[in-house]
Amino acid sequence: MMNSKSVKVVNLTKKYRNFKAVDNISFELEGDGAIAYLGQNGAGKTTTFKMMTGLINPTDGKVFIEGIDVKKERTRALMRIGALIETPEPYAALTVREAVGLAGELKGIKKKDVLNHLETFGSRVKIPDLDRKVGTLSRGQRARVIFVAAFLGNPDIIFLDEPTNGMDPAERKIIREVILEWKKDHMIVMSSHLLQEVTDTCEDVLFINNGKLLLKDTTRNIESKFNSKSLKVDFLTSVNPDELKEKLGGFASSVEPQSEKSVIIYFNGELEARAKILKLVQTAGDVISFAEYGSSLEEAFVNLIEEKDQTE
Amino acid sequence: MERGGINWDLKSTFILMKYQMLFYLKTRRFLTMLILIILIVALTVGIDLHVGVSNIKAEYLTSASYLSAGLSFVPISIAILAGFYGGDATSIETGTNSGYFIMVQPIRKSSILLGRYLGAFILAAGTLLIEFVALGGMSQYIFGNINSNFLLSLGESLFILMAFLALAFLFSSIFKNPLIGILFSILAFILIMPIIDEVISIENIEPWFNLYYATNIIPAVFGPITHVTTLKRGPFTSKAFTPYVWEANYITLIYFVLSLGLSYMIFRRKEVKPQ
Repeated sequence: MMNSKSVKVVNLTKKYRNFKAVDNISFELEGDGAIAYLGQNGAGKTTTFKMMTGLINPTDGKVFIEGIDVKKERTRALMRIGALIETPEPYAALTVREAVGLAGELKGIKKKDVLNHLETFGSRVKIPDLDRKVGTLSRGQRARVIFVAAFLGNPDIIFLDEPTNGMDPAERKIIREVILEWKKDHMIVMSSHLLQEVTDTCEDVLFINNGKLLLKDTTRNIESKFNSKSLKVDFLTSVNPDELKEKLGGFASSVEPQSEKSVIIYFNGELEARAKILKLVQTAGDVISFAEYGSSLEEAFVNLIEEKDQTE
Repeated sequence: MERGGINWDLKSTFILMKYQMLFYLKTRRFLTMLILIILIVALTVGIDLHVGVSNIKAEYLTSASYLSAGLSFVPISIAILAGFYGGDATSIETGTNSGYFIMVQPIRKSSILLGRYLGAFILAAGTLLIEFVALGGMSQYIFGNINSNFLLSLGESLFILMAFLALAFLFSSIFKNPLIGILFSILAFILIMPIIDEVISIENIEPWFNLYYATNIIPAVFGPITHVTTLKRGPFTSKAFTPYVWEANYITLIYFVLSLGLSYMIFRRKEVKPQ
């Protein structure tokens, strides 16, 4: 039986009438690190998170948190986890201090430890003024309050469903740094639309589509399997995409303009072709930047879904 | 403390109760209710003082009849308090994003429901007590005594408040929108249920199935209870029913148990689905 920092999902299914939001998913996660749970909108990510935290009961299957059956012993299973599912809103009338205090008390954390957490972790993520009412906060500020509450009590496992939703780039950077630090000695399971964010923070990836698990692998493996197949080239002066395509010959499958001075070149992804393209684009004008366009993970994600669609 | 046992559940219940009260105080709901009840009391006491002690004495003769008349307004206060404090009790978790904050914590839904119920009851009962204290004080001032059934009336009121609050909790579990839950509860308690009580009585049927009928016991305990009174209204005769104490208690108990039980069953099955 798995115990410390482990999540075991067995044949998990959630049906809403005839629609299967989650369809017979099984996986096991163990130990420290960050795991990304990816999928398109409506793929079943949040539904899985909800079942993992006992917010909803599965139609079939089981979830074990540190060896504890979530359905049978929900309270005990949730003792050592922190969770941020959907867009939680503490009661608007409470102050930031009271809202986090409520979460702390319900987790059985001593008042002084809550205050300590607010001082250290709270200031790290730039939590708003503790005496401000939650109802007066912006979406991003509220998200940070929830984030602080989710990390209360040093939980073993932290579920984060789109944790940076509604945050600006500066706020996202702070959250990314916290995840990078915490994943060293915690298990973090997160979903995100921002695949670059996932590439930067997660070692393992689970892909889900139409409620079914498509792939579970390390981010590194996926990146090596799915090399980026598009390049963004910026020129000093304007460039004609059709002329550029002609110059690139068979090395580029298509050239799409991004702006007057910028194009996206699609190719087969091989390093030799990439080297040749680099040489050839310089004959079309002064190149000021030549970089991968989109993340490998994004490529993998799109490819997997396309492959799946073709086989069905 | 061992986490996850019965002590943990009890502790969680009291935490929820504490925050429920804080929530009401912070949203000024308690203050609004307090002002409303104080206005009702001030109006009653003010009129009595204006009329004068000797005139009141001449009209009511005893503390019992004075209190019986004064406390006949208590059912309305109970209805309003229960509707305002209970009408959104569970829908605030299932119909808004608050549920995603509370329900991912290691707490049972039964603790959430019970904590919320206790918090709402304490504040509602506290507000209701003001009416009793004021009328008891007036009785002491005017008649030099307070009828011995005063505490019985207070006990019945609190018991009936428990049942009305449980019924409001049931409505809050049924309706997704917190505001609709509050409005429906108040409408049901101060309009629909009294009308049913009245119409059924006109048809000469004892409305024993209506919780509002039980509220008649609050002023009735001050005198000998006449279970059936025949009334003549023009060419028509009808009957007015007053429940016995045991009968009122049975009705209240059944409403309390069924409403709170059903409320829990619905709340337990409901998913958090903000609108």
